[in-house]
Amino acid sequence: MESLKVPDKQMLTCMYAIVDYSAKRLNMRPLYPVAYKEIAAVVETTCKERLAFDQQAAIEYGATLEVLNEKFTLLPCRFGTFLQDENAVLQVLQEHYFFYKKKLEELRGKQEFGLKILSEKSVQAHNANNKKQCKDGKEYLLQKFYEYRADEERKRVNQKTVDVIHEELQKLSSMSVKNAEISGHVVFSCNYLVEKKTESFFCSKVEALQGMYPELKFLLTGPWPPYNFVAEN
Amino acid sequence: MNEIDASQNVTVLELLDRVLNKGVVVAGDITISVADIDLLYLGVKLLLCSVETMEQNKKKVTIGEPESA
Repeated sequence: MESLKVPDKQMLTCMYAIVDYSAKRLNMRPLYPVAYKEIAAVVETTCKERLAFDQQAAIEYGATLEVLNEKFTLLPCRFGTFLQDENAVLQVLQEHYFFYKKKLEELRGKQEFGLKILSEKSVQAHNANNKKQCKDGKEYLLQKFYEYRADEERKRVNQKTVDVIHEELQKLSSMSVKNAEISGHVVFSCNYLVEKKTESFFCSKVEALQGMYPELKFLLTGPWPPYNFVAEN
Repeated sequence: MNEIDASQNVTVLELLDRVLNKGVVVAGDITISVADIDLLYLGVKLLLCSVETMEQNKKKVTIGEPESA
């Protein structure tokens, strides 16, 4: 992003989302559409000095996208997307029209669910081991070695289990995006694109899988607008 | 922290992760950076630390009905 020094009084156009604007109309003031052919950017024009960049503003932005998501097939824009004016918005729509159109078609009638799986065993084992007192250095090193071996074994078993779970959920989703960066007790993190008509089945399936693997903790969130399925690559 | 609080915290973090790190990126000369976005990212990192703490404290976060933030 190019950083420009913007006067406090300058008006800016905030882009919330790109929507399929062929069938329904937007009635969510102060938001309004900037349309190009059958797609539109949902925007708000505001003065720079009235903008907030804190956690609450980000949460409200997300809440607005969720309301939009109920009515339109949409591509959510990242928080903090500001353009100079409507002409700049129009230019973006023109330049990326074919990509946005294709994405909107892919995402029609679908929403995102996020799943994180945590290993409770790791937590318990870690806490239990922390309580042990070692008599000498040798015992300490041995303890560390056993911990390492047990941890590696747990990781191997967890990996096999999450592979099975992921395979089951992939069958119920149109697309999935795994999060490569997992840390701590999270052993698996993935986002699934699910058709609205099969959402409840998908959730039931996750619940059933949780029942099958009580040693793991499942965190399912959603439905979300398809944040993880709009990347250009 | 009870189960509902923990569950709501996770949902907020999931929302912030999506809103700040995902979605369509409109790049190029016409995009304007107007504020201290870095500070916001810092805030989110701090929040993520508290999720780790939450896990370590073994607070129960239940699976259940999917939530919207």
